[in-house]
Amino acid sequence: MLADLAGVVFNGLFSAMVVFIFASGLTLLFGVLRILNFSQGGFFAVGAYLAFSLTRLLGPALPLWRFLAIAVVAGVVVGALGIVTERLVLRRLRQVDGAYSLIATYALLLLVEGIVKLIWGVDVRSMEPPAELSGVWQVGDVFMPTYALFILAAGLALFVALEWLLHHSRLGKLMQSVATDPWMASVLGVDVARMQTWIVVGGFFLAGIAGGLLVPNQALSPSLAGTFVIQAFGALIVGGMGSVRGTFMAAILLCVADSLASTYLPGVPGVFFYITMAALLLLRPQGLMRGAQL
Amino acid sequence: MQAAAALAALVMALLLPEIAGQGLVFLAGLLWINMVFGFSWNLMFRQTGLVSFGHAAFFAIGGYGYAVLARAWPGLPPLLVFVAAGALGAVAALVVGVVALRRSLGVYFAIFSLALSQIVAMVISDLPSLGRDDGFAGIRRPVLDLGVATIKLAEGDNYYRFLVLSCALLTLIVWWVTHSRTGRRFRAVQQDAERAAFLGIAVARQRLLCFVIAAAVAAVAGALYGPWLQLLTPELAQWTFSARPILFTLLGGAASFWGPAVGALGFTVLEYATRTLHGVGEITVGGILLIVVLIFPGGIIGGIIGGVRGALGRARPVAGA
Amino acid sequence: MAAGIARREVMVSAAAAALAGVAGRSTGARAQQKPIRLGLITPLSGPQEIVGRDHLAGATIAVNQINQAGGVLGRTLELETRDDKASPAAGVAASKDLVSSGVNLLFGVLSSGVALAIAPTLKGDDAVLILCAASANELTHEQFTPNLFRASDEAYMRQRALAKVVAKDYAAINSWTAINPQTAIGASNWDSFVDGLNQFYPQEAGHNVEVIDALTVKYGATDYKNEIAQLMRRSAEGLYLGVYGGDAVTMLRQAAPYGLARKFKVLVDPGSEYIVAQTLGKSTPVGLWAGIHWYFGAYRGNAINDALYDAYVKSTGNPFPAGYVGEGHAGVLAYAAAIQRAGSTETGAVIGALEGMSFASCKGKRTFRKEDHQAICDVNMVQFAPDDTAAGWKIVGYRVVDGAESIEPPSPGKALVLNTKRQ
Repeated sequence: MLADLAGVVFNGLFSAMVVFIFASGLTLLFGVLRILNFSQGGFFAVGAYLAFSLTRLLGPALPLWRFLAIAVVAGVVVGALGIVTERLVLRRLRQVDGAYSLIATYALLLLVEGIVKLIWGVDVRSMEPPAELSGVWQVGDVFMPTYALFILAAGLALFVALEWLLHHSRLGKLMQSVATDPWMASVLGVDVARMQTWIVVGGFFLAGIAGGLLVPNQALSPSLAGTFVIQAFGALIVGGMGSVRGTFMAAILLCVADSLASTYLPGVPGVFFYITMAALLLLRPQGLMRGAQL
Repeated sequence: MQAAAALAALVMALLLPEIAGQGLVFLAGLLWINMVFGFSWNLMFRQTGLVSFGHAAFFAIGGYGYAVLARAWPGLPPLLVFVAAGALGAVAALVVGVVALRRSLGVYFAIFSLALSQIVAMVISDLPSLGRDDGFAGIRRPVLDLGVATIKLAEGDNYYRFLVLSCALLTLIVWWVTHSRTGRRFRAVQQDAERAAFLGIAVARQRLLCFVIAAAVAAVAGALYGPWLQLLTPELAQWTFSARPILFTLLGGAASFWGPAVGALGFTVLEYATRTLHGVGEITVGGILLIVVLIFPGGIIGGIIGGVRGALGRARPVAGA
Repeated sequence: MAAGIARREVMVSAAAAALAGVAGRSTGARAQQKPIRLGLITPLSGPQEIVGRDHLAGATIAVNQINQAGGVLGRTLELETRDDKASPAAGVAASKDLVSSGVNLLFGVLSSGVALAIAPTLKGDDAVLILCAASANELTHEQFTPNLFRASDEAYMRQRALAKVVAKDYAAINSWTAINPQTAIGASNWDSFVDGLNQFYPQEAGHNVEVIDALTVKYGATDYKNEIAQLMRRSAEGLYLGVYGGDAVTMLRQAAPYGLARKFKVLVDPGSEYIVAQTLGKSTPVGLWAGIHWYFGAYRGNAINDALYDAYVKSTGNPFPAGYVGEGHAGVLAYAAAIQRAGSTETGAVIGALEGMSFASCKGKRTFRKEDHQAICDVNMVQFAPDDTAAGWKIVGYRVVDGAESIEPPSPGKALVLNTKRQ
């Protein structure tokens, strides 16, 4: 039973890192630009499909370093798409009510989904993890697939890197200033428009790299774009106004609670994610990291 | 002028079955329901600034509430059952509002309502008595007993006409709420909650009242939807369905009362026009939506008004010269 | 080259002759008469689009074959296609749109929810619908309507046929369990399978089987590790993989490190057809069985099967046509035969002709029962294994079960009662 519990918590933590890796780019966009980007899932799917195609192109062997390099390439390509999206769409929405960015990014999601379908078709695809990540570690009764351990490590590394970048680097301080008061930042000599572009690129890069890292986790199909969006929105808001730390903690709370409940409480699978979400929002109406920055 | 236009639209809606085929009449029925659903969402958004991502939950509660009541007590007068479905939505909103509205606002409330509606959808798809995800089938169109005459709504276009008149009535109610003193109090809350409180308006209570009214209207719209489609599915409570009134409102223009109607009409026309474009439907709909939003960032109505003003504004100096 | 083309043409027209029984007749009259329009309703956008494309491919081939052979009643067939987005409201809008443009003969429909929404509108709209995939039992029971026919497998018939095959081939197995999606069709498929286990194990294997409660997961879930860990601890020897399509792929991918496929003696997938093997390639579990609407390899030598297969491979280059291709094809064939029999395209006459009618299709003869309008037809199953070829998988076996052996007696209007008691 106890070993069982450890396994269930482990699986919950794994799901949490999947949601966090997906949500990290969303958090950046929401935290600085106040854009709730519906199309993040679409660009995540582009990253995943790109990684799938590149892997196929480079032949049957998939060493770990190549898997990682492909994920980075997917991130860079999607980041470049971010520049285009920023120029053509997001920049034009800056003067209007934030709510309009919702429908613009929703329209963008439809568009990207359609384009993904035109390029890659509607067949279900899937990819194996690299050989190094195909095994399993067994500790007592607990099975820990090495791919899951890798995702846990990747999520943690991403969290530490973003925390350092935002709170301890000069760039992070500039981003904070743009997030809190763009006007003041511009008065102080920050090139706000350029900074905003780079933040979009960063958010999209994270979407692409998330796609590359998570391809082996689930089947690729046209519905991939919508898969994590709602869970990620939940983690983002429960965390509190686009704080990376908040999103990280919220993802862990929500996913571990759902994992425990779906194993030990009979009922509707998946519903506990939302019950926990509603309960946390009632307990901490401004999110876990009330008033925190990014 | 607005009243005359609305009346003309109502007459046209009632006469539609005389000139159009079954397919268009069915779509028109969905459109009127969508418009009312949009009006109810915009009542909250425009009047009190409340954003809900879970409005579909009330639509579904009304729909399933009507279907369950009509199946359990077939003898009840149908009009009473429609009202009861609305009351069910209102009570659900009251409970949610009392617990949540005081504490959580803005995007937090939006996501909170989204979580609730996902829970409603998941519970419906788990209950065999509600038909699970296959849907609640066999919803009959009732017989209206008006005392002087009975009308079988299942016959011909009777249910369609009943639907048009009911939607008109609901629109009238939302219009009246918007333009009454209550509506003006709501507006004050939206514009400046602190000042409204200073002026003696009970801010939280106004928000709650508006939320409850909007939920009741959405629930009646849901109740009307059941007999129209003769089937209800849990997707009606999901976030994708909650996104519809938001889409309609913002596409049409949130600043105008008629925004959701224009948006719903635009979206329906777009979907109808692309119905045989197999394989590129998403690209066309997504692309056109995106272009419309980028050209008219204030919605279609805002864009038209802005365009007319702009034309007049440019015309004046020319006239002066 | 020329010889090849000639041969193909001969085959096509021979097949079409078999389908419509009209070869060589009345070709002269067809120019004057308006074509007969058939309305195909199927998902052509969204996650289920893949099935819609298969339906459309099969139906298009059937229409071409019949037209080349001279049409029906001297008139050509024409396809009108509408997207139901696998959503009930869009499905009704599609059916009404077709009806108001003068099309009263409808077919297709993948999702049972869409079928349940269209069914009650048919009578009022004076239209017929032949289902070519939607499998919910209630469509020919509680929600029966005289204007609705089903040419494809019903859940009860298919799942019990699968149970019959495993009872015979895996007689040594003493216990079964399942992982199912939290959907109505997921539950009713599994209950029908259990009903079959309860009947066929005593009959075929001479002993009862233990059924261990199924695990349920959210449809479209992305993580199955908790359920996989639970399955690994179960004593069951047979696993019923109710999760469908892409979900089954995700689950099996995540289960690979645990060795789930090796733990169970047999895995049965009730309806993902080739999706799992095609997607997993060399990671396909050895000996995985899958239910399929139509397996072309089982009907070689059947002229309709061979002509459909050749036409499909020629137009797509894909050597594995999904079962839905055969169902889209069969929908058109059913109408061609019924119109021929009725001598008319009027709704009432076509319904009258369809009732009790047998027609030849790519998977042999199908017969619409007069009482509940369910077709009695073959149930197909295929077995996969990984392989060293580029595709990474191959078909190592198949079974054909006569649906008459696993179908219930007709009871339109009444709910089907399943025997799911634990032995």
